[in-house]
Amino acid sequence: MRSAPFIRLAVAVAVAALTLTACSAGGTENDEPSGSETAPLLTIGSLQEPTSWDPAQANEGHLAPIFQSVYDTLIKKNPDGELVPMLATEWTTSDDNLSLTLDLRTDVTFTDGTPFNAEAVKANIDHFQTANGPMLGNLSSVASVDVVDDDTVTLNLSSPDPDLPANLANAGGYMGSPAALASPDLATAPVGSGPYVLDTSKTVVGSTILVTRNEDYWGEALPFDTVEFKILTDETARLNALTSGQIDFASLNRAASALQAEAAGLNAPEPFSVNWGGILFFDRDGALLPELADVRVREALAIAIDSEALVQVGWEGLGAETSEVFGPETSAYSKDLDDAYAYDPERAKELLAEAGASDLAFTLPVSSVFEPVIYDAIIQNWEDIGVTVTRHQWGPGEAIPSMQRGEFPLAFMTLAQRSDWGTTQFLLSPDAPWNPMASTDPELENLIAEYPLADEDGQAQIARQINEFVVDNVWFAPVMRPDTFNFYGDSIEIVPQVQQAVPSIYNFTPSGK
Amino acid sequence: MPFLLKRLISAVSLVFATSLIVFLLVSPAFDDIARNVLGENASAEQVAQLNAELGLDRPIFVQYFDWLIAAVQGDFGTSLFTSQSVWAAIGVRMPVTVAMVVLVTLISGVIGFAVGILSAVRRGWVDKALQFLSTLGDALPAFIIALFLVTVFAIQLGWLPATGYTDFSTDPGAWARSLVMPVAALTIPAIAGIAQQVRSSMLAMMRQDYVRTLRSRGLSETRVVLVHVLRNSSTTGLTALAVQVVGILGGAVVIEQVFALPGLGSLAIEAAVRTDVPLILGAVLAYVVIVVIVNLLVDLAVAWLNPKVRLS
Amino acid sequence: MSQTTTLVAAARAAKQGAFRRFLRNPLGVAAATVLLIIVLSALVAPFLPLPSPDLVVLRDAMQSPSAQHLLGTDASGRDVLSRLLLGAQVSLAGAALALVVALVVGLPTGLLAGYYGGPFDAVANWFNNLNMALPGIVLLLAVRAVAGPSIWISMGVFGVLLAPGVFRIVRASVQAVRGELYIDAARVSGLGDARIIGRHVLTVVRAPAIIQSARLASIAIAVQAGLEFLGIADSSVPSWGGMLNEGFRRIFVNPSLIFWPSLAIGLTTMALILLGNAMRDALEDRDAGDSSKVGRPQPASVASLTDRTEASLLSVRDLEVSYGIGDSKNTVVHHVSLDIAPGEVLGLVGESGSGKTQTAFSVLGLLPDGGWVSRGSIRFDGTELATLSTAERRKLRGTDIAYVPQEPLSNLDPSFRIGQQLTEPLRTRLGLSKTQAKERALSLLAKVGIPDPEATFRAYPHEISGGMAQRVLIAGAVAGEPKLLIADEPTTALDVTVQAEVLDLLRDLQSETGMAVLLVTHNFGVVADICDRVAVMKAGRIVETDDVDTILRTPSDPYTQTLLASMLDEGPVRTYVAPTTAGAASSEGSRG
Repeated sequence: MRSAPFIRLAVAVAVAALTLTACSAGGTENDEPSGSETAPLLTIGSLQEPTSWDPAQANEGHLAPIFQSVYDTLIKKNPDGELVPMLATEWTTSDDNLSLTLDLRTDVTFTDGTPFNAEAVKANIDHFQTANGPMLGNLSSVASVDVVDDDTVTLNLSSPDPDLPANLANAGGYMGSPAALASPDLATAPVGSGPYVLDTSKTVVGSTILVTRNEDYWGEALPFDTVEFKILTDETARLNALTSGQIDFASLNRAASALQAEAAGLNAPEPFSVNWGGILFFDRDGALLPELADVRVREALAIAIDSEALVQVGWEGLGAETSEVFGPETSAYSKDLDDAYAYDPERAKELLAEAGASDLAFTLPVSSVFEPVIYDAIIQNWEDIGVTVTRHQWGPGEAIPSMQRGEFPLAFMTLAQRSDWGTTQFLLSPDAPWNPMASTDPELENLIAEYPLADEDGQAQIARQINEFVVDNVWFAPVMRPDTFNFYGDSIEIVPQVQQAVPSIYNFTPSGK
Repeated sequence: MPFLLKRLISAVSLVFATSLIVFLLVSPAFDDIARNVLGENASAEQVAQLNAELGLDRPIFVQYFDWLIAAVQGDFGTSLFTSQSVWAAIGVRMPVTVAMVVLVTLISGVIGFAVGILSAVRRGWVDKALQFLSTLGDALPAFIIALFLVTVFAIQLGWLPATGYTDFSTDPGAWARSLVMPVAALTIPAIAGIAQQVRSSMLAMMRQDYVRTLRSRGLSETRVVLVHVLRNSSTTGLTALAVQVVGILGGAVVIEQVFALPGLGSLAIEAAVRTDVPLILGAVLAYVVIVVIVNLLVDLAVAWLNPKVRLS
Repeated sequence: MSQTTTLVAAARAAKQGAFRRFLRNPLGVAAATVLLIIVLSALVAPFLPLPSPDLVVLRDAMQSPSAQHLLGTDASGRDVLSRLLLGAQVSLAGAALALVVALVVGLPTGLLAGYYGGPFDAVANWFNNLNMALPGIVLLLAVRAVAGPSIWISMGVFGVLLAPGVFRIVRASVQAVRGELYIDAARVSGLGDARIIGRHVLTVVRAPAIIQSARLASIAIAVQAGLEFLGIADSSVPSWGGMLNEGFRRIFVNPSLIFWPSLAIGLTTMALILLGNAMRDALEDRDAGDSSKVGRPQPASVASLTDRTEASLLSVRDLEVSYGIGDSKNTVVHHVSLDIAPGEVLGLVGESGSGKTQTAFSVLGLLPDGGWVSRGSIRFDGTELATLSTAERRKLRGTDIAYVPQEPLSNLDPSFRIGQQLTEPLRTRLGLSKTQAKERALSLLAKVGIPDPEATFRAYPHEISGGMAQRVLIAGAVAGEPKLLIADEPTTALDVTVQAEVLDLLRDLQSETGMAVLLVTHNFGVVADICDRVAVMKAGRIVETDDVDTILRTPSDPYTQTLLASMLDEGPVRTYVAPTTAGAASSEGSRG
């Protein structure tokens, strides 16, 4: 994820979402973008910019198309999530699930002339693992890299990692020239093998990134000759640039902005979502708030929330209610579970009474990133069932560090909806970043241990069981899946990328208009 | 030139005192920096490692002195979040703010003086009307005026872009249009402030003895006012202008937010929000240096205008 | 009036008519009323039967005004009016806090810095400059990151940032007063510093501090709103800026949400500023109204015109000079008639306040603000001055009627060189070229006895002595070869020896050019030296007019007699003394 989930205190301006990482349920349309003509320029309004061009510092989500323009990944993820060859032609996992062998292309050269081969892969992975980048976790299971021959490389794993190939299509898979990796200019002068090359003379930090076509690209040329990423962190500025035609594409965060974009006649794909938003009950063991250890209390709090009203009014109806942290495109997802926390304030009061927590009182941290109406509504709902809620206002930049230090028993957050294994790793396992108080349960631990060892069908089943566990035990109170707002002008077409906030660079085509 | 030397020493000490104060003020938030740089996908070990790499675990004063020593040599470090050098970051954003401030200063200076003079000379209903308008402009905060302008001119009438900034080199017309409302919002209060000062200063000056003596020589009222009285009021007017500039710089911070202008103010806020320490210090210092320079220039001008000081 | 009297009078006046003056200012009253309403509403708000400001009913969001919600609902379905009123509490309390802190920090430091000066002042000034240079909003952001979102902490810190506004004003006021005679008197009589500061200095400082407070409060409200607008204040408490923030997020969906908080903020800040202005006008006795209103002058009475002759160069009949009109009309000169023949020197004698200077000014047509000739005829060289237009009147000055003032140094423009001030009228009124004008000016300077005309030509007023300055002024006056020279106590501000020289100069010029002189003075020594005839004034009227010998030796009016007697008794402080040093003007023996 972009290494700067900074909270911008702009007024009418975008407040960058704390997490908009790569997740999306998507329209599963054509794999490849349609349209074969070329066009001179594609202008993308970007929410974020890279901290550094070092591939080890790459991030996913909004930064994906930027890195993809100059770097290729070992494996490529299609818009519908299917993994297809890129720099690697084939990959196989060993029977014991502890090594992944990749066959590599032999016809690729980096733009500085260095050949792409197994040595290059090893150099990149070694570099990635020592650079302490934001997506270090992508390759956390890789213990060592063996160069088998010039075009074969084996990754030896410390533990089975079902998501490793997907990670090699993500930040963990960007391949830079080994010669450049050692250079002190790496942060500002990327050397990759990708479809475009960075034009450093026209690139201004904080303002513009310009890439021009790589004439010697080994792969299928992308339709645009140049791509300009205009860095527009401010939501209103981005919206304005979009409506005035200054940029061809942008993603928006606020429902109000989306309505305006619609009204201005901008195009959008079928509604899809990459995030879920709701309450995370960090303190499931009751260390900070004893009552929270009781699942009835958590359930009460979950069903006290009027999700429908929240989505309709707070989010202008641009989203869907949900009770699951897994998205509909995952195996874990189950339609039956989606209304597990249906609005029922009476029952909520009963549950509280049963648990002996009718006078429940706690502090809810409030972040200025999210629309105030969300907090107002949820707090009002809870007060309606007799809970006393005190607000604690987080300062800018305080929210994520505070949550991950486990300072509060619960908080509202929007998080990416990932693959089954991804969600498990990021949200559910005892050492997951979003499980700061290390809640665990033997049942869940078993499921988590079994998952990597099972086959595909087995994994799907286990995933569903994990989801059921989470929902039954009310580890979270998801409220909604807010629509992801991608808008574009008439001169281009896009295909949304699954579980990613913006389309990959490969998904943009000229519309011919 | 002891006068100049004294002012320079004062200015420099001011700048560094500011840097220390800001550093200390921001230091409690250092704990969160590493996490915010890496993002929420990183592990706790990564965060600790980065924390150590950035030297954020050292005592505050050690960190400050490291920064100070580098700063004195002109090295203000790089942003923690974009690995862009602080010089470059400020260099890119300064022109936007400076352009705005210069425009506002010029326009408000000229109009403010004119209104002040008119108000002082033409008593009666002209004076009353101008005074009332001045009060109005002075009383309303710039960002309220900005909101009003945006609602009317951008949303209702659609004449001007609500937000956004176009580089002058890209499109001078769009550049100008993007600055109309921000400049207007800041100019109105500034004009009011300057006009009031100029007016009261001129009124006071016109009661001076020498004005009567000049009139007794048969000099025209225009000449008496515009040559003599104005000259003597100019120091007050200039001082008022300097005060306004500092106010404009402050107001520009909020205005840049309202209009999404990529200037020094929004840089400072972004940096403050993320606790991007080198950038915060750089941006704040840039601000202080501008203020100090403006004050110095005005002091020099005032001293030059006052023969008693100039010749000493 | 000297500065001392002005300041003390101002301080005293603060108690007396100020309140009444304030009430007569419609803007001030309106502003005060508005503020009162706002404050009362804020105080009363919790007791009003309004919906709770925090009650979120999502399904009722963004409704128009209705019976239930008088101003409609906001984006979360909360009642706008009750949030507005509660926001008033927060805004007003926050501003009050900032103001109190600013006063607590700024007032004592300003008093001490202004009173004691020296190193304390230097240090305080340095801190003050530091404070002013710090970018307020960014600093508040930094503080907020550390201290949390509490608006009280923010406003407290902002109060410190506001302190320079108080410090500067207080320090300036104190410095202005510190050198004054009455402070010295207090010190000499042994009053402790604390008492002096507390009693005397504070009186003068009170008014500016109060006025500044209104302005600072207005700034505090604006900044607080700005912080809330940026979204960094405590969002759990309704506030005007917070309402603006929420409204602005939805500005494209519904622009009306920003209206009410904008109105509240704008109204409050405006009212505070207007209140401050009105208080300033009332306390400083500055007439917010038009102080330069004049009425229509009445012509001189027929009776007074009977003895007018064609021979006189200047003929004043039944002159009445007043200040103000209608009920507040104050007449300072009554029924004054006098004549000056061409080449004659008429002395206009009287005590302070007798109206002699007012009479002189009315001949010149340069009465101070608010003064006007309410009656009478002033005929100069055959032309009736009272009915002339301003432009025509002006044409006479410098070339026909000239003026020599009393205080030499305050009557020269401090920003221009002497030479410039001399040549300016020569070039603009007489049409001389630059070189011609300079030549003329230099010769004039030589004529009035300036030892080094070139040096003086280049000098600035502060570089020459009082005596030289008076000569320069005389040079400037006679440059246009006027027919009538009005000299207002030309020697009073000079040293004794210099007085003699200047008088000699005047006499020489007068005899050389044959110009008439109206010499205003309270000094019979001067009268004796140079005047042909004398008119004695008392309380705005002429009590006796005669030739100088008669007046001095055998005055008929009892007042004149008293005047003479008291002057002679007081001793020779300002009488004419025959110069004994070489190079002085020739003497004609002492008189009187």
